[in-house]
Amino acid sequence: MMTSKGKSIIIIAGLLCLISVIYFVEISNDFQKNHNEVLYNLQELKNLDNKLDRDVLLIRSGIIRHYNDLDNGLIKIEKSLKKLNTLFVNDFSLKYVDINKLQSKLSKKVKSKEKTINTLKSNIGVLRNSFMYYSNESHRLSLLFNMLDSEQLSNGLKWIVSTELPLFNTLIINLLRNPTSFDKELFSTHIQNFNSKINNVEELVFYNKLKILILHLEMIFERNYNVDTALNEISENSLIKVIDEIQSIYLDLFEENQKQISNYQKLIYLLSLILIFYCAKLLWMQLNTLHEMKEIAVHLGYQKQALDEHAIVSITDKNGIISEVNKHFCETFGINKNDIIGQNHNLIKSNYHTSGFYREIWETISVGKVWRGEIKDKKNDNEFVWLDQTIVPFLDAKNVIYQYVSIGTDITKQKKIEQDIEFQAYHDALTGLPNRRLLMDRLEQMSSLCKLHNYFGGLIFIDLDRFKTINDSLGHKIGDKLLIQVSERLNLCVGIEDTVARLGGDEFVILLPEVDDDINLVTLELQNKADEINRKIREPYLIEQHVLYTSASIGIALFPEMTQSSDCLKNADIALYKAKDAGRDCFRFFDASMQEAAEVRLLLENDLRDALLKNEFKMFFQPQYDYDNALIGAELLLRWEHHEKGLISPQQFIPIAEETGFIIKIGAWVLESGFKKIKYWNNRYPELSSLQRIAINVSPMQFMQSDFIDVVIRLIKETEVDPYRVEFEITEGMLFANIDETIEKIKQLQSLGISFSIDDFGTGYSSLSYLNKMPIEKLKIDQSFVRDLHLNSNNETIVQTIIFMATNLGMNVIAEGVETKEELEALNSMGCKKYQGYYFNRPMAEDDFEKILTSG
Amino acid sequence: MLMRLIYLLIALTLPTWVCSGDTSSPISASSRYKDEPILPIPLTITLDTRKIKLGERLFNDPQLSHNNLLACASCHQLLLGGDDGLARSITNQGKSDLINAPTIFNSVYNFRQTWRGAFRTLEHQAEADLKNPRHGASTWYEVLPKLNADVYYKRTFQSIYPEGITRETVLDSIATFEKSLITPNSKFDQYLRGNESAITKDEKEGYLYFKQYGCIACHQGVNIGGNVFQKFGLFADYFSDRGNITKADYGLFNVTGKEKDRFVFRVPSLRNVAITAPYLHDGSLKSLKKTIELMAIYQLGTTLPDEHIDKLEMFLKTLTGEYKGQSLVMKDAL
Repeated sequence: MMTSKGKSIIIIAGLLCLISVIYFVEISNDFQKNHNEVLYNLQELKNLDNKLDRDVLLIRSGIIRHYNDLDNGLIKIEKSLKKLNTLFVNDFSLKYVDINKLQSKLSKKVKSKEKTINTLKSNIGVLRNSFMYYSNESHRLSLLFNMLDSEQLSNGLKWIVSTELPLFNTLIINLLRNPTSFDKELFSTHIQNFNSKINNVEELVFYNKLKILILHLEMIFERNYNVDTALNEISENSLIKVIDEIQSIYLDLFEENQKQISNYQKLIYLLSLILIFYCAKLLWMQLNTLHEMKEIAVHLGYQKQALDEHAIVSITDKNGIISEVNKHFCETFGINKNDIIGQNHNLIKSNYHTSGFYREIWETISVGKVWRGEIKDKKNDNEFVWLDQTIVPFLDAKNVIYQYVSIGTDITKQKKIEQDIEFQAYHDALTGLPNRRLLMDRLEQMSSLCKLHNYFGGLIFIDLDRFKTINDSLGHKIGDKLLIQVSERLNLCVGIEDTVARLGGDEFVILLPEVDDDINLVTLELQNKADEINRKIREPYLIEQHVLYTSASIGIALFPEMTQSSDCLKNADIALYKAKDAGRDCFRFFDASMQEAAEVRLLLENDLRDALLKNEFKMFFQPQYDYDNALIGAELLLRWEHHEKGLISPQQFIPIAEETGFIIKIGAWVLESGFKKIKYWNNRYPELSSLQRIAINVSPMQFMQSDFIDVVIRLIKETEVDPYRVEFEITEGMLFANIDETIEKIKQLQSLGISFSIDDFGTGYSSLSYLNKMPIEKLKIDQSFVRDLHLNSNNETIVQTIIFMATNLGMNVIAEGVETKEELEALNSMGCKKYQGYYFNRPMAEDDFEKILTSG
Repeated sequence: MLMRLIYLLIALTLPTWVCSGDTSSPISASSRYKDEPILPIPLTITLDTRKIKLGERLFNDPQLSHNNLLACASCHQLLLGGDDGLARSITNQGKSDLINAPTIFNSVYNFRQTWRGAFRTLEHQAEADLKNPRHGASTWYEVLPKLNADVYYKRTFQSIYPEGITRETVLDSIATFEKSLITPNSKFDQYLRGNESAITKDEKEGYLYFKQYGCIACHQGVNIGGNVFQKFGLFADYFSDRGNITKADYGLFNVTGKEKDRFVFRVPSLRNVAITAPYLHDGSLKSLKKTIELMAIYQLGTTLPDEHIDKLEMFLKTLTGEYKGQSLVMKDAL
């Protein structure tokens, strides 16, 4: 008997031989294919070059008078060359040095050919032009000469027309007939001669024409020489010669290699023969042991039968391809045996576990260790199977894994019970909502996530008002049903990311993770949410013929805060009690300042509706100046004088007005009052030239109203304002929202006389490239760029670019927020000559502005 | 052998090209253009529309520049004939550039890009401008993360290119968009395709002069130029006449360093020439007529009578084509 080591050596040697044979067969296939392609490509290159030469001929002869064919030909050659180069690289028969040699030789030739062709292109047209000019002009000159009275002509001219021109005609014919043997010296002597003779021509018309004629003669000579040289180069350095040369080098190399390969092949056949003899001997010995093996197999069969009855068994190869499964397996997974064999084991992978879990299994078994554990597999898209599984890797004599055997038992039922228990531990039995435990878990997670992302989340604590009364009077059964309906309504109020939890009794908590990063927006969002909840809870409930009403008190707290997350719930609870104290059916923020903000907002929203009626809006004007300190206009700014709170800044009330849509009414009021004021001032001070335009801000929502233009036209008619005194300030963002419609609107308003400027320019979507599409007269450089302009080089670049661009497009620029002399000077030196800002004046009331108007 | 053949052919065809201005040969109208030195632009070009859309976005995106101010479209505006209508473009520092911006339209038909013909492909040109300190002044290290941060780009690139956002894919989509910028169906192209009444008698006469005076020697082929190098100032020295020579005037010399390439430029395409003023590499001329007159003096060694200049201009105006089915027009005066 042979030792197992000896056997494996034989087997490996046999395999190696087999692989080598296959390898060589494969290689010689590829080899032949590549080889054929190289030859084909070389032939193609030849054809392309032939075509290129033909096109050169056609162009030289004037049959074709454009260069597209030449260019296309060159591009094709270049492509073919590129392909050939890759084929060379893929060719086994070529060494690196050979490849390099072959590649560089051809590339060089192609490059030089391209250069020559470019020279030809540049010269041939010029030559043709000058030739045409010369033949036409010399002919014309002779005719002209013959028509004139020869008595009165100068001798110089006579000499040239009768002797020199015919001489040149002959020279040119010689040149065309045989450019190579053309006598250049003779030609240049004649040219010199001609040049000196021209000075004897007394007739100015002829003199000038002859001067130009000489230029063309020289051009013919020079260009013909260039064209000739180029053609010579093309004919002498034919690509075809090089291609042939390369082909023969290539074929030599190929043949040499072919011989080597066939030697190798012979050697391998010999080795294979020896091995076949060896194997035959081995087989004889194996037959003897076969009988013993059979007996063992019978015993094993019994064991297998027993295992099949109990367990789910599958066998895969080392790559996870299933090679065998038992009946139990097929029953559990509802699969036909024939369908699963040959498939990857991943087919039943559920992806329920983390990728780390699967990785761990693989890392265990792929090093030959046994893995045991519980795993959830997939029966089909909807059904899953839990297995208590053992995976055993099988190693061959070389300690290499060749198969895996998985043995498992179905534990799906046990798992289901386990999961139910777990669900109950984390959920409220009555409503199925998450309970306090799960809520605290999630709160902790979300809190740290928010900290990481710099976001805020919210916690809304809800307690039903007078629930105890319902419970006591109608019984627990009704009370429970009410709680279930409340929980359903709460679920409808929130998004998929949010958690609605029941803490017990009539206490619910809603967790809103990652609401926003802006604390003001978070406040607003939570406020709206609480409002919605209040409303929904207030709606009637129908429970067993009873129509019930209830309401909710709500406390709101934000996280993350500086404190622990459990405190957040406490904070919400505290806020809840504030809501109860305030008379129930309302909400309260834990944070005092947020509560205040919410209240102020609510108040402002209510008061804003009355502000117009109460006449609380005031127009302010901020004057605009030029560099000579002369008043040129003003921007109209809106102020709200609240009857209790005093002056409220636009930053506070404009966003509310925009959100509620009230901005439309306010905007219309501003337009009307502004127009009236302008009309009034124009009537009263007709002589004032300083009041060029008053700029009025138009909000996006207002501008986008479909009847905006009609409103403006109506107001112009009613107030009789001169539209040429009105300027609308719009923001950059508006321009790009609906570009075509916006342009159309602006153009219509401009046709009335109103001019347009862009406010806060540079802060929005400022691709300067779109600007010239816009029919805008003026840019307002945003104050953030003006601030410390002389100290900040980045701002300086931006401002400089804006000014340059605007000037180029014929737009005006004005800088807003000019506060210091230095900023003013810097702006002036960059070319911005109009300003607005505290350096000159703050925004002022109508009367104060009128004083400035009349004083200056 | 080849040389002999050449001379034989020249001898045979000599009469043809001496009277090449003659257009009265009785060929069928529809196949006329096959024998003309100018070829019509194909009516359509087959490209991946997803890449075109993506490329258009990139083309208009100032993020490709270091200070987020300039996009390709800043100097190549499709509404202004594919250039910017300025003598010289504006750099990222708000200063005047060195040379006039050529039109982006039909650049796919140029054999090299830019005035000095420095780049063989649109991809090379786009990359060079992205890095050019006066234009993009950016690098791939800077641009790729910017694009990667943009959800639109991230998703779109991945759906088109398996390798996502890379130097090659960014350039490929920009170049694909640029290749789509062709302006077919000009009046003159219609004429070449056999519509005899597409251009007027005067315009036809202008075309005749265009060939007779020899403009056609350089301005030929599908793009009516753009495929040949030529020295500027063949018959007289344009640069000493104009004065104030700058490095940009050296043209191809700046690429090759060879003396013979000094003042040599890639001949520009005359497609849409009527709407791409100002003219010449230095953007020094605003009038098309003046340009025709100047070209005749410096490049053809002849002076043209006013009447011929007028007709030549009429002819050149028939070269204005269509983009997306809309005829290109002169930009609106702002």
